[in-house]
Amino acid sequence: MMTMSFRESSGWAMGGLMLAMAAWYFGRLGLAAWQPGGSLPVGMLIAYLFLTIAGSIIVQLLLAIINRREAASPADEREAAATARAVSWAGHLLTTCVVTALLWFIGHGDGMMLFHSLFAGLLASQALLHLGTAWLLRRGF
Amino acid sequence: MPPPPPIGNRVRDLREARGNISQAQLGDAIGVTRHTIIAIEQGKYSPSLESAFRIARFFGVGVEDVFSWHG
Repeated sequence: MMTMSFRESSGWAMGGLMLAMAAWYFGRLGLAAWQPGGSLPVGMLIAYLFLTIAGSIIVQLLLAIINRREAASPADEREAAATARAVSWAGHLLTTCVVTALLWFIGHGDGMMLFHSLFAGLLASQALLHLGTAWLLRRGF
Repeated sequence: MPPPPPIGNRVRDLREARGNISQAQLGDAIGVTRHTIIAIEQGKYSPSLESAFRIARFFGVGVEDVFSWHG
């Protein structure tokens, strides 16, 4: 039976955390911040960063306590290959988001929209990196 | 599910024939996790050439006694 390894459970947990935090951030941001001339809610951005970092530490700590041995070991060849493939996917997604955001900026000149688009692309690529790694380890490749 | 790789293996049979060596023991011996041994046995992952040789050497047989090409 294929149980869940440390790196797979870490991937699902971190990907879930990234998506949850992104939903929280953009949900709170609301439509107002996307309007031209809207100000950047710096406080919320700092709160997002703090909560994401704290959440990541807690998740990794809990998973490491559950599976101390694997957490202390370096990734083996299968885990490294899965991560490399997911990194490639995340890179493609981030590139697509950056180019799209820049093209939007050229057309509309909205710096705030550019910032939020790039930030969203960064969050999406990070979530894809973690979830993609976990999915590849579960599915096989 | 992705199509299974065209490489079959007898890792599970050899483990059982050698006194039911655990997947964790085999993984430790060749430098991979227990989950990677499980993935190899289930045909979800084809190991690197280096790991294939390590597995064969662990069981004291040739690589082609462990792995076979079904392509």
